[in-house]
Amino acid sequence: MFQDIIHAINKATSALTQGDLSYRISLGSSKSELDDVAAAINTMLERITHLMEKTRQASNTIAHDLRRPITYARFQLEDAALHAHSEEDLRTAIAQAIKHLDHITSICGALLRIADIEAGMCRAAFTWFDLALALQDVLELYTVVAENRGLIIKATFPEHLPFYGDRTMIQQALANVLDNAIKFSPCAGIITCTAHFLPPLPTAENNGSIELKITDQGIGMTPEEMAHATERFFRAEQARHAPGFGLGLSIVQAIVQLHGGQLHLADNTPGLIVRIDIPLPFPGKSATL
Amino acid sequence: MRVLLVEDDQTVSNFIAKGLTEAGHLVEQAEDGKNGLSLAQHEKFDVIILDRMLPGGVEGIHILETLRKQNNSTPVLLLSALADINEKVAGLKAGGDDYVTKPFSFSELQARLEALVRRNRNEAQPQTRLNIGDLEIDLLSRNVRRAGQKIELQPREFRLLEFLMRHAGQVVTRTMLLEGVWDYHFDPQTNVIDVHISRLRQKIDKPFQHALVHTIRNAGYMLQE
Repeated sequence: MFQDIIHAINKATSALTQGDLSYRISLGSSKSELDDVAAAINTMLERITHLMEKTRQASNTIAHDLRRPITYARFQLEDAALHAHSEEDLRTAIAQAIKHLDHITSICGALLRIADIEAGMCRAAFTWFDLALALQDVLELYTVVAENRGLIIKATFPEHLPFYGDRTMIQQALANVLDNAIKFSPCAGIITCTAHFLPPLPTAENNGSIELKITDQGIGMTPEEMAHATERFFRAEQARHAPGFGLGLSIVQAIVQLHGGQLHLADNTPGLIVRIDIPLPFPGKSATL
Repeated sequence: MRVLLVEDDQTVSNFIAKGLTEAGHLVEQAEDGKNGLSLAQHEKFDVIILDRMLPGGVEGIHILETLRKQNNSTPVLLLSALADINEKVAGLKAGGDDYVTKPFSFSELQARLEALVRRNRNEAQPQTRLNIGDLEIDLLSRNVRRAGQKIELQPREFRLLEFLMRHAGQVVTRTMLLEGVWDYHFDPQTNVIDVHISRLRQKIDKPFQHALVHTIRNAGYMLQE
């Protein structure tokens, strides 16, 4: 029987090695141990196929999204080379092309940043800090931008909020969410930002959690769009023409996951509710996340 | 200023050297760590541009650590293709004064180099008052006056103005402002800095005859008489 199992595994792995991802070990023989092993291997193959498909899709999307600014830059330069009549024409075209290249750099930067965050390398830099102050700083940066567009940001949070994590990253998460809220709000409206401490449940393994909630009265998202919102390069139908490249919420998601938390999107009728829940470890026990 | 440029990528190295030479600086180029270290040890430079990864076994960080151990305090700007925040922290910990990630815009690099050299010269005498033209700020009482008139600024507006004044006559990029005034180390998608600058202009420039805050196209801002 062992020989059968080994033979089956051997056949499956060599099929996989040769690139046949669809090969599965056939089930249904009377020997139940062989079936268990075969089923486990088949599940593993399913998972590998799924991950490879995801990777393939991701690289397709990346290639596609990088192509656009590359196309623009190339077009600008070629057009200038062929048709520019003055030095000024040339300089304008070159400046435009540089802008498109900077756009590519930003996309690469954001992708690398997500990869770094997902790899969890940055967890070593986690510390306790006052989240209230960190949020205040971001709000201060964005309030002026919001006011410029006739929007009001109403913030409510306690004077101090002890928090464990990476300050810069949490700030970036809030900045990205606020950025979207401002970008997708009509020219008047209210954006709210609240944060508070939720005490632990008696059964919980954490030391309570922090709930951070940002709401806007903008264009919002359909349930379908919410389901895809954190995917890299996803852009909602109505958001297609706004500036940005569909990585903002992917970064937020990666940051929240790094902190062991969860990101929820909901309808604010009208507008969007973004809720971030992040558990806190016990003081001193910093590695519980 | 006299610049030592340690960079193995010839295209990058020549691009920087050309730009700096055109701006009137003297540039010495080294292609590997060994030559770079030797030049840094035997000659006097105002600033060193150091690539993080160099061939020939002598890494940028190693050069930096060696220089600092020998009490050589020439300002060092690290260049790197690694955008990872941990890499940046490691570079600054080793004694680097600033960090620029490739690809970068030449104006960003130049602005940062000039800021480093200026800071190095100014560090000797701590200042309590800064002024440019008829604008004057008191760093202790936090008073701002222009042409004798008192101007009320929010705390962050004051820090923004202070930063611009400390770099008066120099280009200050948006990233430098984000890092220096707000302690932000990521790129916001919106041009938040422009909005803050325009607020500041309303207070310190608009009521007066001539503007002190100037926009430098494709680069940033400059406070100048």
